[in-house]
Amino acid sequence: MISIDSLSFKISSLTKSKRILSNINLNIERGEAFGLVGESGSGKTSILKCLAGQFQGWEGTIHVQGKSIAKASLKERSNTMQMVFQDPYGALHPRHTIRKILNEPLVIKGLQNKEERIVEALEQVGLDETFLSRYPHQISGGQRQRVAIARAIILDPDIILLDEPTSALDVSVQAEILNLLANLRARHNLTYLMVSHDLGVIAHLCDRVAVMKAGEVVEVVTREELMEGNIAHPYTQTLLQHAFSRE
Amino acid sequence: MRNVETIKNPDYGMGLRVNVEPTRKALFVKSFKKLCKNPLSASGVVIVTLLLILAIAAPLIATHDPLQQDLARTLSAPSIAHWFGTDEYGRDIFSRIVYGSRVTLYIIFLVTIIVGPIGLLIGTMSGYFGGWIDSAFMRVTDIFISFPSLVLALAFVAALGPGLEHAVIAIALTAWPPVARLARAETLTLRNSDYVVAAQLQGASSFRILFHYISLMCLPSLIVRLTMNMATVILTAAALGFLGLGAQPPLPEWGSMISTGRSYMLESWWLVAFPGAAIMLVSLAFNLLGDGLRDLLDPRTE
Repeated sequence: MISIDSLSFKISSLTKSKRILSNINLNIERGEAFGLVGESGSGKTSILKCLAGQFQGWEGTIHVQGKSIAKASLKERSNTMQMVFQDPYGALHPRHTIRKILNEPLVIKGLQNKEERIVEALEQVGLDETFLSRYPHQISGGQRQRVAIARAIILDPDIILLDEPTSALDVSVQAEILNLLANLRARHNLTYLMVSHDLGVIAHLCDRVAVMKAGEVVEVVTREELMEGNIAHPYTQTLLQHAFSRE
Repeated sequence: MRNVETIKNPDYGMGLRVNVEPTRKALFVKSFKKLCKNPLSASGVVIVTLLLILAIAAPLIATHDPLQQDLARTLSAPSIAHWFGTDEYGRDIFSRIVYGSRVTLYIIFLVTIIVGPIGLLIGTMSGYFGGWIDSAFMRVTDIFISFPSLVLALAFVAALGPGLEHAVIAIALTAWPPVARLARAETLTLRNSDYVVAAQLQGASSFRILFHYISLMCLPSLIVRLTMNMATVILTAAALGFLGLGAQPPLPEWGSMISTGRSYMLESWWLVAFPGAAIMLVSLAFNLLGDGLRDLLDPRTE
């Protein structure tokens, strides 16, 4: 589904250049939930931004569904990939109603039966149609994140990029959103690429995890290996220990 | 199939469906009340409203025909018959000021509807696209800003010839650069926000993002800026009128009234004092209104 080969990315200014990603190789299967974990600045979000077209000028190759995305425009990518952001407060336009937010992608794609699709997408994320006339500041953070997820699935993409979708929410709402994401994946056969610094969240949702450190993938482990502590790299072990000690 | 529990809207549960119209109306009423709470901005609102009423109902309010000359009563002092006195041709100054509000509003209205969209378009485009578009637009803006606006307006009127419409064009040409700067600054803070990225990921065209996402967020500060601008526009229009390059006689324009009254100023103070007071009052009112609107619309001042 997504194959990333020797992806490197550096930001260069006049005086110095900084390497953000070096030699990333990942393979994500159709229908898989793949996690990226690591500390701040390890390059997790940068991989998503390369995929989403926010970063230009990376080296290496990225194939999505067998097609290279280096030449694909954002418009072509939008049919297969959508993204859910970390901050539910910044992800929705403050002066658009929920109806307008969900209507926009349908208008852009020129799709029919807009009203039915909007109501259906809302129902899928567990909101009813009375939310349609509301503005984002009139609903809670968890509900905003649900709207953001509805906006991501309304175009029926195959891949959803999740950029720490739960880290800005409180713990009980985190669980709701994670369950919602798991349900949606099962129902629509979605492929997830999720970034998180929280191993618990990753272990809950993802089948496989890539552990990242300083722009490199240290290790790719499955959930089972993670649960059993069956991991090779010392950095992963440190991360795991921290995750346990916090609980 | 549906194993996600639906979150019920609490208002819906009680059988009260919330429509957006009343809330929007309520919001407007609430904002208006908030605006009127501050005595300064309230006085701005009152004076601007009075100006609007004056302009709309000019024939009802004016006591005389503003163009009617009465050479038997030239330069008569304020009295019951002529509240603000008469000018050198015996025309009633009060009526001329009342009709002059139409000219002033006409200039403000035209300048604002020209300057607002142009400034917004240029500012958001240069902020959003960046690169050479930004450089090109901003250099042009710099050139316009570096001229004193009255001098630039004078040059344009001199080139186009005197007249009200030409004054409007000249003022508009000098008034758009600050608006464009403001819109650009706003756009720079917005263009990497998550909702703009989300729209890009949905395949929205650049112009869709500019019109539906970025412009909407620039509007509040732009409205404030334009309202504050109106005071400057009034003064520039009056200055052009004073120099004989704006509205042409016999059209009652406050600036040109002062200009013609200047020759008789020492004997007949009312020729200059009343139009001058009108200009001062109205530009002050627009400034106060702009301040009030800024407190209301600009979240950064809170």
